[in-house]
Amino acid sequence: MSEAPRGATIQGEEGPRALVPLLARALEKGTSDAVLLPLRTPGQDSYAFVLVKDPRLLRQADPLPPVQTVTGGRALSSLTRHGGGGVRILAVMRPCEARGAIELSKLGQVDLKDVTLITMDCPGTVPLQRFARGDLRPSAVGFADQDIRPICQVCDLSCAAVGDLHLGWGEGLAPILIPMDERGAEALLAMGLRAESDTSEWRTTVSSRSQERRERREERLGQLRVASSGLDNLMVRLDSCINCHNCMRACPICYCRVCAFDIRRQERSANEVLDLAKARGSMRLPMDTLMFHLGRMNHMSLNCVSCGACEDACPAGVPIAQLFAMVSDRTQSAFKYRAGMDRQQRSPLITFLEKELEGEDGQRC
Amino acid sequence: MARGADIGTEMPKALREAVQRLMETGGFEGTFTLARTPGGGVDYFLSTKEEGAPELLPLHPVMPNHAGRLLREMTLGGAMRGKVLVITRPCELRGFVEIVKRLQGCLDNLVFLSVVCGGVFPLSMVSAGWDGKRTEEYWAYPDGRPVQGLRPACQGCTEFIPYTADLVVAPSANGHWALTAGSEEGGRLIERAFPSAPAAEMDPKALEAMAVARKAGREEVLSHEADVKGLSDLVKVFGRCIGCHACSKACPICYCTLCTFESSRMEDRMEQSKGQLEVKGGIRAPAGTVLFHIGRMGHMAVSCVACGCCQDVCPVGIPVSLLFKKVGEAVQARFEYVPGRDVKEALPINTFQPMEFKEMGE
Amino acid sequence: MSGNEEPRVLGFLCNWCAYAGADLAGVSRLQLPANFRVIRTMCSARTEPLFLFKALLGGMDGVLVAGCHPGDCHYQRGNYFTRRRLVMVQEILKALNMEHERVRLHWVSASECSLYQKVLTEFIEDLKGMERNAARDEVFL
Repeated sequence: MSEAPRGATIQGEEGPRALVPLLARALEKGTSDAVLLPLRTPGQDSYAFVLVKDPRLLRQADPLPPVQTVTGGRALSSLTRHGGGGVRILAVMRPCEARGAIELSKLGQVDLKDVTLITMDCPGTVPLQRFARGDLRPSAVGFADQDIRPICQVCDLSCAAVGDLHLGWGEGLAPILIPMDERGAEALLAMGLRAESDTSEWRTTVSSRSQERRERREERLGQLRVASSGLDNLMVRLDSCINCHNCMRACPICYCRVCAFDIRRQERSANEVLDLAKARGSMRLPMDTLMFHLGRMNHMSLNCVSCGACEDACPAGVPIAQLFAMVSDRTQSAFKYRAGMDRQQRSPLITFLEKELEGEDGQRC
Repeated sequence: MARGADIGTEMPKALREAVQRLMETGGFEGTFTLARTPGGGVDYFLSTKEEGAPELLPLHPVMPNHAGRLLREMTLGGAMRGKVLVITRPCELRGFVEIVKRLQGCLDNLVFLSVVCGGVFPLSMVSAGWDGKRTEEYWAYPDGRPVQGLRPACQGCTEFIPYTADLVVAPSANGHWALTAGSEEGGRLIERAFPSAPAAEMDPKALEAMAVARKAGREEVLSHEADVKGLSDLVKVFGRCIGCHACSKACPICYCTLCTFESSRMEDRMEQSKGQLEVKGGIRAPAGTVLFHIGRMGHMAVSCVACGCCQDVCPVGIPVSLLFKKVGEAVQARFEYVPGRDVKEALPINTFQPMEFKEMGE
Repeated sequence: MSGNEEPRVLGFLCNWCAYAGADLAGVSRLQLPANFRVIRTMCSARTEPLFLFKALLGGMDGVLVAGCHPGDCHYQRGNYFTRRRLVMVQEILKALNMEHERVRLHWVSASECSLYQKVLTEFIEDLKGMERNAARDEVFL
C-alpha cells in the first residue's frame, strides 16, 4: 500500500482563490504557458472558461464559481481536440469536469499530454437557469449550502482527487495543495511549494462527506428508479421533454458533430407519421423522444460523470441528470468502472477479458 | 371571398367546438394541433379520428416546438398523402413558408387554420407548472390590453395577422369570434361546417387596438439589453452564452443537419489559438461565441419571423429573439421583404434586379 | 487611429476583374498601401458573409470586397448576388451599431488599376480616422 500523500498548505485566501497567486506566478516565471480557468464575464453576470496567458487577467478569475456554465472538459476539448500543440496548460476545474476531460481523452477528444489538471473539493453549484434569471445568485457556494442542484446533492465524488494536483479546503480546513502523481509533484515544486503537511484531516473530512453522499445517492436514485419503473412511469418523468436535444449538446461526453438522433428525426416520412397516428389515435411530435434518451444512454452512460450539464441546459425541467445518473451507476458498476476515476482503465466496451461477466450462479450475462 | 362564420363568444370553448366541426365535415385524414400529454402538459400531436386521440387544445397559448420545424421534419421527404388540418400561429405558418422556399418542406395537402394572434407564454412558465388556468383571461387580448407574462417576442409582434392561412380565427364585433376564410378552400370548409351560422368578419377596431398595443410593446422589448450599441455591448450580452446552440435548433429556419458552426471547419487548432493567445493575453474556450450568433444572423436574418422560440429555449435567458428580431427587421426592410408573406416571393438573397442598389460598389 | 498606426485591411478580390486590376496596378508601379492582404476568389460571389464577420471579429480594421462591374461578371450573375449580400451584411452591422463602415464593396475592372489604387488609398484614409478595431483585444469573443 502506498504512503498517504502529503500536501503543501497555502497561505493567503481561504478556499480556491488561494490558487490564483500561484497560477499568476507560474505564468510570470514561464513554468506554464497558459492557465485554463473560469473568469467573470464582461457583464459580470456569469463565468466562462478562458485560456489565460497574461497574469493580469487573473484578477477576474474565480476558480470555483457558484454555477457551472460550460463544463471544463468541453473547454479543454475545444482547445486540444486537434492536438495540444505543445502548449503547457494548468487547467483548473471541479472533479466532475476533470473526470469529463479524462473520459474525453480516452475518446481522443482531449490531449492531456501537456496539461496539468488541478482539481479541488467542490461544494456543488446552483441551477444555471435560476442563476441566470437572478433568483438564486450567490457569489460562492459553501459546503453547508442546501440550494445546490439535485445532481450535486447526491454527488459522492465531489472531492475526488482526480487531478494531478488537488486542493483540499473548506469548513475550517486550511487550503492544502496535494500532488497526486509525478506531474503534480513537479508542478508543485515549480510553484515553489513543498509537500510537507499531513493530509489526514482532509482525508477524514472527505471520507465522511462522500460516505454521506453515497448513502443519499443510493436512497434518492433508488426512489427515482421506482418512480420511473416501466414505460408509463418513465414517460411521465419525460413528459415535458420537447426533444430539443439540448442535454446532448451540453454534455461533455457527446462529441459527435452530427448526432445520429438528429438525423433520425428527419427520416420519418409524412405518411409514416400519418399511418402511426391512425394506428394509435395520435402521435406526439417530434417523434422518437424516448428512443433519443435510451439511445443516448446506450452511447454514453459508461462515460457519464454526472456533471449535470444536461439538466442545467434543459428548457423543460426534465430531471435528466438524475435519470442518467441512475442508469449510469448501474451500467458502470456492471463493468466495475467509474468514469474518469482511473486514467489507465480503458473504457469498458473497447476492452475485454476472455473470462468475465458471469452471473452469480455461473450464468452468462 | 366567402363569408366568415360566427363561432361564439366563450373562448377557448368556442374555438375547440369549431375545430371539432371542421374535423367532422372537412374530409381530413388527421389534425396537427396542440393536445394534452399523458403527464398533463401540452405538446403538438398529429391526431386522427380514431380512438385514443388525446384532448385537443388548438391554439393553446404555448409553443413547445415551432410547428413549422415539425412540419419540415415531416414533409422533407414529400407531401402528406391526404388532407391534414394544421392549426398554428401566424409566425409558425410564415416560418414554414420560408422553409418551403428553401425546398425543405412541402405545403401540399396541408390546410392551415391560424389566428389573429394574442401571443404565447414562455416554455419556462409551462415547465414551472402553469396549468393553463389563465387561459380564459388570455383570450380577452383583442381589446388591446397587454397580456402579462407573454414571450417578449410576442409582446412586440406587429405581424399578428396571418397571410396565407386558409382559415383564420379572428375577433369579431361585440365580443364574438369569427372563423374567416383566407382562401377558396377555406371558404368551402366554412360553408360545409357552419351552413347556418350567422355571418361574421374580422373586427377592424380590434385589429387597430392590438396594433397600437404591439407597437408600444415593440419599442419596449427592443430597448434595455437588446439595444446593442457596438461590440462591447454584444460581448456583454453574449457573455453568459454557453454555446449550446439551442437557439439554432429551435429556430424553424435553421435546417442544416450539420451546422457550419458545428463542423470541423470552425474547430480551433492550437497553432492558431497560440497566436491569438500571444496577442490578446487570453482567449475564451470554447471560442467563437459572438461569431456564431452574428454568423447565424448572416444565414437566416432575411427569414427571421421573430417567433421567439430561440429565447424560450436559451438556458441563460439571453434576449436572443429580440436581437434577431431587430436585425431581421432591418435586413428585411431594406429588401422590402416580409418573410412568409407569399410562398411565390423569392428569398431576397436568391434574387436580384440588374439595376438595383446603385449606391453599392461605386 | 493614433500616430503611425496603420489600419490592417483584408481584401477579397475576384480573379477576373479586381485581382487582375490589382495586378496591373502592381505591374504599372502604382504606389499601393502596404498593410493590405489580398485573398483571391474566382468570383466576388464566393465571399460569404461569414468571411466578413470572421475578419471583423478577428480584428481586421477594414474588409474590402471587390469584383466585376454589374453586368460584366465572368459568371454572368455572381456579382448581383454579391451586391445583395453586402447590403445584408451592412444592415446587420448597422442594426448592431458595429461600425459598418469597416466593410466596403467596390467594383474594379481588370483595366482600372488607377481606380484600384484610389479605392485602397481612400479606404485606408477613412479607416485611419476611426479607432482601431476593439475586437483585436477582446478576450470574450
